[in-house]
Amino acid sequence: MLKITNYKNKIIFLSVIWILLLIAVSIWSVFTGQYPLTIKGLLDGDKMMLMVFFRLRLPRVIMGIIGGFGLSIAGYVYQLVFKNPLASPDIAGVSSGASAGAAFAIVAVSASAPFISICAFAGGLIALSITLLTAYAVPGKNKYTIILTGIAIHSVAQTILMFLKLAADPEKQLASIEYWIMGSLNGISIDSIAIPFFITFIGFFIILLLYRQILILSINEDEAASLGVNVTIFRFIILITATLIVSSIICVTGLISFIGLIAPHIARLLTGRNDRFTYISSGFAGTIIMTLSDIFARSLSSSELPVSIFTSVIGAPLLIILLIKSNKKEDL
Amino acid sequence: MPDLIVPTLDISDVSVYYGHKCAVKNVSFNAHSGHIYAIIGNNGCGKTSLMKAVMNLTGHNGICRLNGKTLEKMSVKKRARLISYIPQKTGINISMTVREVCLLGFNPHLRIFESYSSNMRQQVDKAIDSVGLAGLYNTDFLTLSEGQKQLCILARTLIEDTPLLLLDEPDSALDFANRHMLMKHITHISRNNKCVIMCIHSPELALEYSDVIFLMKNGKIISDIDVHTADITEINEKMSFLYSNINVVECADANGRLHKTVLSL
Repeated sequence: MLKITNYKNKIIFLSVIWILLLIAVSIWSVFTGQYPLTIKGLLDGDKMMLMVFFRLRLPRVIMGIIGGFGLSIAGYVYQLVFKNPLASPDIAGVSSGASAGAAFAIVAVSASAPFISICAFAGGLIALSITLLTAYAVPGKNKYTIILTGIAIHSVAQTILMFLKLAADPEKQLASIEYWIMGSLNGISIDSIAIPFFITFIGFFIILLLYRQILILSINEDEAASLGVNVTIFRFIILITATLIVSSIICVTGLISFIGLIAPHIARLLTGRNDRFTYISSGFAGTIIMTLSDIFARSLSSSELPVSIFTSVIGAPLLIILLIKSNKKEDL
Repeated sequence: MPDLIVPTLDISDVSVYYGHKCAVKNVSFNAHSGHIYAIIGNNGCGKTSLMKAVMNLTGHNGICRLNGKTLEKMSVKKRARLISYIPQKTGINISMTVREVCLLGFNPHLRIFESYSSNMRQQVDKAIDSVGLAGLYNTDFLTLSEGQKQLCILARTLIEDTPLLLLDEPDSALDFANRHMLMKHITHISRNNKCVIMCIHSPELALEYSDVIFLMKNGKIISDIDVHTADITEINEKMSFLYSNINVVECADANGRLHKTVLSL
């Protein structure tokens, strides 16, 4: 088996692999679906094919790339900042806040996609704001304060969600809520991509620029302060950035589980480090898992299945294989 | 006669409270550059709390000044340019190379988005060489032995290049040989006009490597020993405030150099 000892060569090798895989799954995704697309038809200017390509397939592929990338880099940051290999966006109550927001939109107003997205985004932000404000108001705060406050807010949001489910019309509204919670890239339009794209793009660069501070935050608080990092301020900025990325994505796609947890581990097992390249690799791993999951979600059954089923089905075995192959002890 | 030397560190009336419990009671002392100060005492006597107060990591009463500047009024970053800290055991538990760990020592000197220069990388490699870890630049920090880890953190401290070094039981996870190697490096650093203050459990190491020993009990500094001028009787008498039946003796090594060491408790 090919073994690369020089880290620079490893970076080049993995970068090429990531780009080739991304191109391959994107092309596969574009040509997957109920309406068959052909290269010839697209080049010949077939109106129906062009419409399906530009209105349905392309937005879906782009959202898969943005969603997978954003959820993974956010998960990567959460795991570092909370020094917890199991940390994910749920830790600050964001996912459950967004679910409650989406359910509110479906039950109280209408099930129109843009309105659900707005309410889900607002729900996620409200949950995050309450978590952070409460955590920072608590005297003697530390990293556990945010986690514990997040658990409390998560429970409250879950309770609200439960009430909304009880109030929902079981025929239609309840199914819509459940379907939203299971996550899907179905019905993504080019307009709905703009916000997640810009937030993920800007968030990615903020995290990249603050990467040194994030690494220092992954050490204990006293050591971080002795290295000149204001733990409270930087932790706040970094968590807000990562959480905004997650909120902007899940408000469009619904909840997509496991990617934010698993992709960072896959990237770490491949590079054996926690540097900037591993951070970017984590995004690529997430993008590929997400796009593959979406391909299977719409091709394995006559009706479309939730993406989250496949993110777990693809991600979990991949992680286990890498864990078995990795002969190095990895703490995080 | 007034003391004409401006002290490097001036700790004035520092007290630390955890709720109603007083961990450090009105501690005051001065420390000068070029010297090593050891704070010894039993577990829970307030050594670590005092260190944290100096670094402003815990709420406290009193004032700490370094070269005449009040540490409490400084920003975290400004304080980090003046004080470096070696904990009992570093909190690094993610895979990073030895070079990456040491490069973090430049953080207090860098602007928020500034990245490391090639000159910084060269300085880091030199620091790694100087603590005896040459060739391990790209080794995963987590795969190092405990002794090597502490030496790597010491190399990071060299990069920080601060006038004050605080060490909280830096030897606690080390074996006999590594303990002495670390202390020799610390002695070498202090000669470079640095003020070193270390909390330490072992009176032997304190007697061998420090210039002044502060004896701490129940949150107070109850006495101090000038290791170079105090005679054996005085040392035994003062040490007995902390350890009953301690027996410090003076003996010569193979080169005829005199050392003070603890024979028995």
